[in-house]
Amino acid sequence: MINNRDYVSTGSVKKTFLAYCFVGLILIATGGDAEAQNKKISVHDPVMIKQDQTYYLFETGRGISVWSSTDMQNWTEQEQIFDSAPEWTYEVNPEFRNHMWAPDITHHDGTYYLYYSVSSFGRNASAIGVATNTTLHPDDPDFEWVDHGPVVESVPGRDLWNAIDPNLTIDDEGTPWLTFGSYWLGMKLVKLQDNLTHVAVDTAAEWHTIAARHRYWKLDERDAGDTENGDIEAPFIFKKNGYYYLFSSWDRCCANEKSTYKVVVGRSKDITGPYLDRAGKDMRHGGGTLVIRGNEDWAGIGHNSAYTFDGTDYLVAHGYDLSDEGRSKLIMLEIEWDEGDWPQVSLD
Amino acid sequence: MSILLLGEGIVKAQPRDATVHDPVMIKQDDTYYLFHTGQGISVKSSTDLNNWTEEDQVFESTPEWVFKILPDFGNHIWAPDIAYHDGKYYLYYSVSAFGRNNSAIGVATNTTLHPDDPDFEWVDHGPVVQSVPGRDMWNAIDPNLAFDDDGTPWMTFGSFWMGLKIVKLKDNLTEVVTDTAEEWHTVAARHRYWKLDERDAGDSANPELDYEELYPDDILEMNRNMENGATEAPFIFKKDGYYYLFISWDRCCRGVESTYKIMVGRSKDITGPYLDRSNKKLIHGGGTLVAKDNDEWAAVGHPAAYTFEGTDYLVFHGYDISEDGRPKLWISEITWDEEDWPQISLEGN
Repeated sequence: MINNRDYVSTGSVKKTFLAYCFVGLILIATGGDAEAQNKKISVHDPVMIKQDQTYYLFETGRGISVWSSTDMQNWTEQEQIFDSAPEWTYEVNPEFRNHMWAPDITHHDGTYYLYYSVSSFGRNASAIGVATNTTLHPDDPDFEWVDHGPVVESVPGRDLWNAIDPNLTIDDEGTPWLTFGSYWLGMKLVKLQDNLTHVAVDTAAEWHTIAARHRYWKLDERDAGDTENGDIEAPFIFKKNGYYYLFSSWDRCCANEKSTYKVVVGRSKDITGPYLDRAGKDMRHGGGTLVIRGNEDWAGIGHNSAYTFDGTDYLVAHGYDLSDEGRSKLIMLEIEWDEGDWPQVSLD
Repeated sequence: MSILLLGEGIVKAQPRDATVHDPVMIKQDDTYYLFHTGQGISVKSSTDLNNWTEEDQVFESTPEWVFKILPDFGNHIWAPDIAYHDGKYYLYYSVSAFGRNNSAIGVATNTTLHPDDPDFEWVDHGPVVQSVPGRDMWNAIDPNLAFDDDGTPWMTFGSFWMGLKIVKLKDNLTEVVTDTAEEWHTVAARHRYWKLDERDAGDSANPELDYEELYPDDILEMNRNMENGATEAPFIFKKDGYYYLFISWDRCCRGVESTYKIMVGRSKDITGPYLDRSNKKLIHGGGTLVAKDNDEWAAVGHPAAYTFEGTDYLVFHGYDISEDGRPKLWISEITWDEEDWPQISLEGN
């Protein structure tokens, strides 16, 4: 099925329509078999997981888009997760059109947890939901997504953060945490209950801001900010070398050739922080060591996740392709670790 | 002041003998009831606004729900708010711990305030709003209930951190409105340096933090000088087509070292923007001075405002220099100037 990506909007309607027709024709002509697979797939906010011999990629799209691959090179589009938006999303946003942002996928204790963002551009009337499944193989008879409703919700005028861009991490003691956000005053980390579907409450409640950028104090509380005010989002925590590495994206996403998205990183021995960059600067105070940014081929690169597959570490992100009107494309890069244990990736 | 004429003549508007903190007041029949910060919420009664009798505290023991948030809570309840609506008295109150925003605003109701009435019984309804450290840049303390001209109930409260909030309540007055009708606004704030620790109110008062390690000297100095969001205790008073928002600035609760002062702004809309006399927004640090320290009072603050028998009063506490900074009850008549701004005087007592 063809995704309708609202944020790919700078091309003419006709061009977009033709592009969809083109992809559609291939799918029709080949019946979706291996010949139809696509190497430079158009994705936004990709996350990935491996079940058996298959890699599954989830990304922003109507009902959450899904792709599969056996080689991380050739990708086949699968059915979207939600045919229609869960009922509860209309209580967050009555206009919600099932266009779900920035999922996160994890396997824990025999269950796959798929977190996702329900929001609308530029506002923090948002929520992070979660659905579970016991398998990701669509042909498995047990394959069925079960939605568990909202985990975290942000309310305009109440919260100076945005409940989007979730990422689940389990710390060294086995405690689950969700990091997410944001713009506004930065990225949050909140402790979850063992069911992974609710935040810890009462005396067990624990929240932290783990990364932020300067925001002018007189900005309207309903304004997310801009490239000079708190433009940071998409946190992802990756455990390695005895550290929690916190990846984040800075600057502007979703503007095709004008995107200035880039990936920065900091690290901490404690999952709650403080996360420091290579220079020792606290990420809550605007610190962050550059991991990757745009070049002559890519306007901007960001919204990364990180995984170890078969002993190799990968950075998974999207880049705005300058050779294709800035459409967002999947980028997977091997991570190398320098002598100071900082992550390095290369587009060459 | 004729209503205050008693045997001893015109009553002084400022009785110095009542030690109170964060007073609010209401009149039932011929009795004035005053609620203020104290063990289980302190209560006083008077028939003349001058001589006050101590009544039993509202809560003999802390409502159970409080311990889920504050396991060590010692039943010292802050800054109540009292209102009468549709045959019931609503008493909002703050449970918190100094310097932290691990706090909640609860509410209890009663059908009468007369302790000798057989129907007298406080019924607690639990938390209305809760703030969580690291999640919220506001503090769920210092509640005040206000109704807008359409009859919609709102609660303003807070704060330090990033300012004073207003949130829409359900018609039951015990819960905030949720889902698509949920509505929150910041109504007043002062500058807060963006690198302050999120667990710091803006005055380095959280005992869990090591400020010498956290901050360089200039930031510590900003906190000492109340330059990081020092505003709390909102109270909305409707008059002359405006919602007047009274707030307190600077440092409370330090005896003669207190620097508390009373400021005001106003708006035609209960959700703001509230502007001061020079049209500066209260969310941008605006506020017109109503009252501050003088030779006898180290500081004054935490106002409530009422109309009793046609006269407007500002009720607040002042730190009495002659008694080593003890907080005393003030009841001061409000006069309105030609531009409809409130005036009170601390002189002539």
